[in-house]
Order: sequence, then C-alpha cells, then structure tokens
Amino acid sequence: MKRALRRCGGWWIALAALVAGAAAQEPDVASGPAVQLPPMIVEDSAKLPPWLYARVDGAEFLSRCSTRTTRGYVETRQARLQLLEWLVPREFFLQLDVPGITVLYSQKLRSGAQEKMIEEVLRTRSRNRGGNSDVGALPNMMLDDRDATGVFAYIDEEEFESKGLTVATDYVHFLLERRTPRLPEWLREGITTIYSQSTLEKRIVIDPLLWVSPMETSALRAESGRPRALLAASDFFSAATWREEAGRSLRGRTLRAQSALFVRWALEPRHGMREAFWRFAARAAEEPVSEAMFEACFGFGFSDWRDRLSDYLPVAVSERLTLTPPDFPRAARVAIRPATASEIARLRGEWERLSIALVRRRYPEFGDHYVGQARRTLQRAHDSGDRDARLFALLGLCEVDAGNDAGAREFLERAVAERVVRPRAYYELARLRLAELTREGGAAREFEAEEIAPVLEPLRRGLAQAPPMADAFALLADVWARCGTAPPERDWALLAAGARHQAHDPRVAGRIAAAFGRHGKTAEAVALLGKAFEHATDDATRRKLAELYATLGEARK
Amino acid sequence: MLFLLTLRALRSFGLIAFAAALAGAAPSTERMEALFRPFLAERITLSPDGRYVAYTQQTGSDLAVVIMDVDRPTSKTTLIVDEDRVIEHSKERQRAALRFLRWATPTRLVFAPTVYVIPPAVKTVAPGFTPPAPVVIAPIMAVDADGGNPRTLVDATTFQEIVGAGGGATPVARMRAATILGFLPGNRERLLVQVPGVGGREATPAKVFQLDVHNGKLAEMSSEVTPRGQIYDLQGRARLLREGGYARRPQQTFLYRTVYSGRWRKLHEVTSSSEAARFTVSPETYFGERAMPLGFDFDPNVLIYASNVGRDTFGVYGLNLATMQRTDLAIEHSSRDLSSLAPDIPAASLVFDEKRQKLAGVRAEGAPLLTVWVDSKIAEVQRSLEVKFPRRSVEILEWDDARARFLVRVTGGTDPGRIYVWQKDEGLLLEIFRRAPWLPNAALHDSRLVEFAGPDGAQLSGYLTLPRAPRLKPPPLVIVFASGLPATPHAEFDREAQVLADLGLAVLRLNQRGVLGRGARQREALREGIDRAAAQDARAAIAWVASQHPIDRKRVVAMGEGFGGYLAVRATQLEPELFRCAVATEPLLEPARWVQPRPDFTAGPPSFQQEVNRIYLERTAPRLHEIGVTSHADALSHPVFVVYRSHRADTIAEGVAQLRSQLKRRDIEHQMLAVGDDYFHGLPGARAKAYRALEEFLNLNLYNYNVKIGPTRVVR
Repeated sequence: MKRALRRCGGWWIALAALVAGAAAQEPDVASGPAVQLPPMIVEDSAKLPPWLYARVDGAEFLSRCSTRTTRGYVETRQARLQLLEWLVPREFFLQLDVPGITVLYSQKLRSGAQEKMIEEVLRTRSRNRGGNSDVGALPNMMLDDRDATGVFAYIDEEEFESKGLTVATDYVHFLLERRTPRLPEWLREGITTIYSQSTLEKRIVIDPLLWVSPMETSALRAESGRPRALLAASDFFSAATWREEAGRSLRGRTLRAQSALFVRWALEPRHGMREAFWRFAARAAEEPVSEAMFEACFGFGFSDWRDRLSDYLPVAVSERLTLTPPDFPRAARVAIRPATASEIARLRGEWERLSIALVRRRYPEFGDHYVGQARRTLQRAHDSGDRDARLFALLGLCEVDAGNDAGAREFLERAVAERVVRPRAYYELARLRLAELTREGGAAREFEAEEIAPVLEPLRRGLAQAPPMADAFALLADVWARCGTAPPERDWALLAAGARHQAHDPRVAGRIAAAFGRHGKTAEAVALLGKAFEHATDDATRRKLAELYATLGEARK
Repeated sequence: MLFLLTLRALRSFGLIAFAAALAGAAPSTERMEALFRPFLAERITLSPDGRYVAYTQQTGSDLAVVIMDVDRPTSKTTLIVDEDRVIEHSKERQRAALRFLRWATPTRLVFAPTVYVIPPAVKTVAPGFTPPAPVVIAPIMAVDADGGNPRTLVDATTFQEIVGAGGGATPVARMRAATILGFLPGNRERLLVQVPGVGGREATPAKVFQLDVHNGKLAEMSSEVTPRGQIYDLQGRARLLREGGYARRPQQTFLYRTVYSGRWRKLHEVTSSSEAARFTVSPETYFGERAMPLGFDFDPNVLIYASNVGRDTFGVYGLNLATMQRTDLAIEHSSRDLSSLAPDIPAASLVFDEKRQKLAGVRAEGAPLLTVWVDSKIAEVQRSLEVKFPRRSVEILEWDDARARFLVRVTGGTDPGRIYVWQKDEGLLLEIFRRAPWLPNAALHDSRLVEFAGPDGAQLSGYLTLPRAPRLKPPPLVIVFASGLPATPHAEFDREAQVLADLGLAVLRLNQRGVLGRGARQREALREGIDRAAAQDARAAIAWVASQHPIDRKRVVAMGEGFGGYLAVRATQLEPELFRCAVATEPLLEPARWVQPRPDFTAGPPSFQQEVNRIYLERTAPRLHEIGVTSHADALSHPVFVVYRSHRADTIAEGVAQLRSQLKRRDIEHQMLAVGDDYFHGLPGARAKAYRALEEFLNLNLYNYNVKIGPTRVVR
C-alpha cells in the first residue's frame, strides 16, 4: 500500500483500498485514529449535486463528482487495467460475474453525517466504559464479499489529475489472492512484487530487482559473479516450502526474491518465454508442478531453470526492464449520465451492505448503525416499486449479513427465481433450504434424493457463476454426504472441481472428501485428504482430517 | 559432355547458393573459442571448519588461487601461483594447473602447481659426458586464509641430487619433484611427500618426508632403494609393489609387506581367499576375473582392492594383510564398475573422511558420475541433492568436519558445471561460481542422457544434444562413437557436441556396446565383430532418436576420434544407406597394424597394452586385416573428413595417407585436415580453426542434399 502510494505521488486512492478480511491489509492504526470506519454516504438532499452513473466492462460507477472528474477516473482506470491485463493475463485474476461497484465522492461534499453517528456511539461508549475519542473515517477503501467488490473514494477535485492514477499493488494482490483455482504462492508473490516495482504508462517499466537485501543487491550489481543462493525447483514449487518459510529467514527472503526473479525473467522479451510462462502458471494453479509439466511448457528442465535464473540475476538487479505493449484499440467514450433512483439505491445499498461485515467484526458497537443505513437505502427503493432481481438479492444478502435469515428467505427466493447474477444469493438460499430440511429431521438425518433437489438446484446454478464459491462446494458435498443415492454425473463433476479448486482449504476439502468416501470414491477421497493435510495449519484440523481418513480406512475394509 | 558440364555447373551453383544462405547462421570463431576455453576451478577445496573455499582461477595468463569466505563472499584473497607454460612447436601456451589444493588446517592452505619440466637446450652430448638434466619446477606452497605467511615449502631444488660424479663423467645436478601422498592421519599440519630415487649404479634412494605446512621443515620417515610403482599406506609407508607387466615379462603381480617388515612377498601366493588370489594379470586375463589393489584404509593392515571375481562388475573390498582374510568392506553396484581397468593400479577412486578416519565412499569410473557412499549420512545428503538437480550429476567433493557444509560440483546435461556450498542447516545452496561463466545456460544446447534398447537386447546409452536453432527442420544427426579400446563412455558435457549443435546438427554421442565401466557382460556383448556391432548400434540409435525427435534421416553423419574415428568411417562402409558422410579425428584405420606394429630393427616385442588390444580385437574379429577401412576401398562411397597430425609418421598417418589416395582414385569428396599438437591439447584457437574447416565440409557434403538434379536434357 505504502509503496503504491509513493509511486503515484500519494494520489491514487480508489484502488489503493483496504480489502476487508485480509489481515495484512488492515489500516495502519498506529498512524491514525484508533477506530477507522468505512465512509458512510450522506442522505440525499436537494443541495447536493446529482449522482452520475457509468458502466464499463465489469464495473459500475456511482459518482458525486463532476462529469469531467468522473470521466477522467473511469477512462484512466480502464486504460490502466488494460495495461495490467496485458502484463498479467486476465485469467490469473479473480473473475466476478457481478460487476464491481465504485462510489466516487467529492472531498468537499464530505458530510458530517458520519461524524454525527460517531459522536453518538462515543457518547454511548463513554457512558458505559469510559471513552476513546480517537475515532475517524477511512478516506478511501475497498470492501469485498465472496462474490462482489466495492470501492469508495473521496476525490479532491481541485487537485485531481487522472494521469497520476495507477492501480494499487494491494488491489493487484487482492485479485491474485482471491482467484480460483487458487494460484500458487510463488506466482502471487512474484507478480505482486514485480508489479510493485513497475510503472504503467504508455510502456511498462520495471525497476531493477531487489535481491534478498539492499546490501546483497548492491554487491551483485558490483560483481556479477558473486556467489548467490537460489532454491532448487523442487523446493521452490513446493507448497510445503512456502508454508515453512513464511518468516524472515534468509531462505524465506530468497524464496520471495526468487519468485520475483522468475516472473521478471519470464517477462523479459529477450528470453522469449512469456507465453510458456503463462501456460505453465495456468497449469500450476490446477495441478502440482512436476518437471515433466515444466518441461512441456518451457522446453527444458528444472536444473536448467535454476541455472538460467542464476545467470539472469546480475542483469535483473542492475537493469530496468521496459516492456512495450501493443497499440490497443481506442476505447469507446464512456457514457456518463445521471443515475436512476434504482441505480443509486442499488449501488449505495451495496456499499453500505459491504460495510456491515467489516464494522461488525472490528467495531461491533457501530454495527447497528451500518445495518440500519443499508436497510433504509435498499428498502426505500423496494418500497418505491423497484423490482430488479439484483435489488432482491441485495435485500436478501443484507438480511443475512444482519443475522436475519428468516427475513432474507423471501428476497432470495425472488432473486433466484429471476435468475439473478449473484453467486452468493444462490448459496444462501440453498443454505436456508437445507437448514429447513435439517430442522425438520434433525442434524443426523439422512436425505432422500428428492428431498435435496431444492437445495441442489440453486447450488448448481450458483456454481456456474463466477466465482465458484468455496462454501457452495462444501454445502454441495454436505448434502451428498447425507444422501444414500449416488450423485449424478454433473454433481460429480462439480465435486471434482471443488476438490481441484479447494484442496488448499482443509475445511472445504475435508467435506468434499467425506462425500467422495460416502459414495465409494475412496481413492479420490484419500488423495484429497492427503493434499488437505499438507495445508492444515493447526492440530485440530489435522486431527479432524485424520479421523476422516480413519473412517475411510474402515470403509475400505 | 555438355550434359555433364551442365549438371556440374548446376550442382556447383546450388552448393554455392546454399552455403551462402547458411553462412549467416554459422557460429562465430569467438563462440567456438569460448566453448574450448579451459574451465575455471579445476581444483577447489573447503576448509575443515567450512568457512573458506579455495579454488583455482585463470587471470589472463596467470593461474590464481582465490580464497573466499563463504559467509562474506565479498571478502576474497587472490594469489597468483603460476603462469601459462610454453609448448614446444606451438604459438599457444598451455594453461597452468594445480596438482594439489587442500586445507591443512581451518586457516592454512597447501597447494602445488603441476610439475613443469623444461628440457635442456642441448640434448645430445659427446660420448662419455653425462647428458644435461632438465630443469624441474615443482614447488609445494602454503598460505594462510587471509593471504598471510605465503611460503614455498619445498621445490625440486630441495631434493636435488648430484649424479654422474664417478667414472670421470661430468657431474650433473638432477632436480627431483616430490609427490604428495596426503596429510598425516591425525595431524594435518604434516604433509607426507615422497621423493623418487635416482637410478644408475650409485642409486639414490627414494625417500618419504613429513613436511611442516607452516615452515617447510622436513622430517625424513624412510629411505630405501626400491623400484618405482609402489603403493603407500596412509601413514606413508611403502607397502605394495608391482612386478612384471612389461613386454618381456607380461605377467604382472604384486608384492606386499606388512607394517613392520621389510620383506616383500608375492600377494597372490599368500592370500587365501579366492578373490585375492587373482592379484595377477597378463594380457590374456586382462578382461577376465581379477583383483586390483586400490590403496590402504586408515587401518594400515587393510588393503582395499577392486575385484570382479564371481561378479559382472568390479566391486570394492577389504583384505586384512595381517590375517589374509576379507574384511566386512564390500561396496558393489549392479551395473557400474567401481574401478577402472588398469594393468597395474587404477587411478584413486576412494573417498575418505579424514576427520573420522574412515572410508566414506568410492567413485565409479566414467560417466555419468557416480559415487557409492558407504557413509550413510553422506549418502543421505547425496540423495537430497540429487532431487534438487534432476538430470545432472551431483558430486560431493568435500565436507567440513561438522558435516554442516558440503562442497558440491553439479555438472552434466546442458551445463559445464557449477560449484555450490550446500549449507545443510540453512537449507541453502550457495552457488560459488560457474566453471564457464562465459557460457550462460541459455546459450547452450539442451543435452541429456538417453538410454534405449540396442541389438540383441543390449542396453545402449548416450548423450543427445539438440540444436536450439536448427538450420534445417528437421535437423541432420551426428552419431559420435565412443573412443578407446574398449571404448570409454562419453563425458556428460561435451564442447564438441555444442559446436556441432551450433552448426544446426542434432548430436548423439553413442556409448556403443562394449564400453568400459558397465561390467563384463556389457563389455563382452560384442560377438559379431567390433565394427559390425558398432554399425548396428548406430542403426538402432538413429531409429531411436528418430522415434523421439524429428531428425532428417537422410542426413546422418558418422563421427569419432581414434578408434571411434575408425568405427565412424567403417560404419559408412558397412551401412552406406544410413550415413551421408564420415568425420574422423586421428582414426586408427587399420587396427591390425595398430596392435602389431611392423617389426623393424628398433621395435621390440609388442607392449603389454598392444597385446591386450590385440587379444581384445581378435576375440571379435579373428582376422584383423579384414576389418580395416582401407582393406575395403570398394566399399567407400561417402565423403570423409579427417583430422590428423601431419608431423607424425605413425600408423595413423599411414592409414590416412592410404585412405586419401583411395578416395582420390574413386573421386569421392574428402578433406584431410592436418593439424598440430595444439589441436590435441584442446587449445581454443586450433580447435576453432578445425571446426571452421569442418563446417565448410558439412555445408558442401551434408546440407546440399536438397539440390535437385533435374531430368536429363541436352544443351546445345
């Protein structure tokens, strides 16, 4: 984050955002107020300028800035993303079928509404347990749900210069981190590091590589033959190595620096390995890396790879790498128009809903205010006759986030019936339907195939949308694990996809393995448990997986 | 006539145009010179505490020893220790090298340049005068890790003897180079050196000294007049002696003596175990079951020897000379000989852990590199490192006393080699340097070990090098036969293969049937004639390569050096449809003449090695003259390129001359390239020149296949 801000002169804000749920990216409280809340949008008033709306590929914008500022932001964002996706193909980023939303707000309109809410909460807090007056609002942030993202940006229009905008490293990291199937850590680390050292304008300029430490980097620059340690491919591509070397040991630092070196080496046009690299990266996300697979992509083996990286290292630490993208076709002028009431409610409501989870987790005392605000925004649109399926989905998800499952059901049923594009809506509806079944028959009850059909149907539809949610795979597995009838072919395919995509998550993988085991696919179950075991980080999870493995052993006997 | 001229004109035009088109892709002379430059760090050593690495490095025309602190690699000490040497009759110079480089203590390094003998300017003298002695330069030096206290401990002048003083002859000072036996077990500050005796009526005895590595003081341990060819135990005592093995007495045996006895006894007469009883060899039994001494264990009673008695491959065993019983030591490998074949004492292949005073392992002869470790901890390290370097040979060279750091050389495949320090506790492999930093991996052609089935179920192997940028797709193929009799397997990295790949050729360096180091069965797999077997192996190899990689089967070159060169030319006679041309370096075109030199008044009886070769060849081809290349002049039909020494009048040169006249008579394209010794010393300039000529030959005789000769027509 700091690197990205430094690079863009401290200006670029919207995409340099806090990603909720990612601990590493929580706001830096040491340098700011102790409590930092997501921005709250002021209630509409006749004095305020009208909301503007724009939609481009995969994103919706709601802006209370001038048309000029809004256009500058949207079009520059598009151009930067185009460059980014030339640098790193889009398939390596998180894919969302639900367009991301961005709310742009002029800095000068920053309202006192949030401050009023904060004051109120503080008064309550002071009465109860003594106060902490060090509370403020985050200027800009990005929040995400399992199937959607939202960005809020305050823009100082007097200072605004669209050329200075860049895509923040944290955003790139987020897109890589959340991609499914999960990208291997060396790839995420390598791309993120290289991106953080890049300037994206007409050309992409990547700064000289930082190797292990500044001192070591300088020494390598001065003496190209200087001894250097690189990890062998068998270690570098092993998930176990990455787990073990999370710290700041020399081996850990080498591992991270080498990941950047690998990406940079692959991007170097003189090496002619760019296409091979992305082909390899795509396969590495799907299956364990083997030398045969590596060779099929690059045309040489592991040992040669290590040697080539080592040979390239002195160049990488000494030289800038300039990449010249092709001339992209000129983008169509983005249409910016006044937003409709439905669009305002939906985008505002989405932002406010996205805030709930973060606030509830970190500052529970502010939670009700955010829930109330989101409900009001969405309900007002509904009351005024808006029947957009997306609005129903939002209303349902808002109630789920507020802890009101009962209130959510009707909205979710409507949204799903209208075939909304909202993976989480399908999952939540399936979850509620299963809960109902379980409530009727008890937790240990076995299901008949006909009974679970209403649960499976939304799950299948939801899993056909991007991103396929881990929870949905797990729920699908749970359902089949409690049914005596074998799943049909299409559900086997979904479970196999879940096993492939979620092997790194023991929580989900264990549940899929149980379904495999229940229906006689013991070998698949054992293989999946083996992979899941490698990723288990605590004893409780390992014990659970071991118990499941023992059950499978019994079944085999 | 007109028709003929037209065809030739068309052909020549086609050739010129084709060669011109190829010229742009030709590797530069600089590139060829780079490939033939000597590698760095022919010698390298790790200090007993694992802190320092010392290695050799060429700096211009000087040989330097570099001492590097592994933890702070920037901190280096460089010492110039020798300079390149003049080669007689050559413009180029021979690179200086070390014969010894080891740490005596954690901070004291001992090293010794190879012995340099400068022949006297005046070589003949009047009768009655002692001939002048050569100048011998053979220092043994030492230096501290920080470069302090550098010292020449001893030199050849230290052991100079005045000879020829009696009988009225002019006395001459004869310098003697000390042979380094190793450090004294348990006290590495003492180096054991042996100084040979000087023959003649007043023989000067051979002596063994303990040399203080700090101040060069010598302490004499033994002095005795004995023949050369002794084996010393690790404590510096002469314990084993070779007897016989020369032309007039071809049967060779070994004499031994116990630790405290001065009496030599015949080893094969006193040993009771069946293997040990085979410590005797003659040309007839050279390739049979026998035993060869390798050296002594730290226990001076234990002789370590190699034996293939009752087995296919040579294993390594221990014999207690006090009890004459086998010890527990038995190191075996199912498919590799753990010792080279030698008429007397094979080159040292034993690896000791000096700190623990134990035998740690045995290095097998030949490629791929193989060390069989008896020390389980080192074996474990070997296994873990091999996982890190697939398709490479990992050679653990040394380790520190704590076994926390291991000095490792990784070579083979595409890479000429890199040196690492494996820091076991940190899990880090520190690449110290590349042996050829001027040859980055990406600039080399992919090369790998391949194995496939040959005729009669034989398992064949070789190294396949594929060109990165073939000039033609699919590329032509070169089959390079292994050289030697029996053939020595090809080395893992080969500069020549890289040059050929630069020329756009795929190269298979074939280990044909009968190569050494793979046991008796493989060696004896030749039944139907050594020439025919090699040609059949080449056929199988071509078929296998074609099944794995696209190659142009109409453009296959047979190639080889020495006996391999003979096989290459002979293969084009036996399998003319397989090959397009042959390339041979110093080919032994007439094996019969080679093993049985024509008797004249200066020649004595055949040497031990000649007899070994003759017997070996006659087993597969009883009538040797029938397998000669020049004996089948009619069978020659393909262009031939030969590299040979023009200034020698030997069997090779005679064969080349005869081949030339036969080819000329039959109007077959050929080029006999005369080269000097520089070429055979591997000097870059000479090699580059020869390969430039080969390139031209291949342009004309290999790449011209597509020149279409149209239908016959009369031109008026």
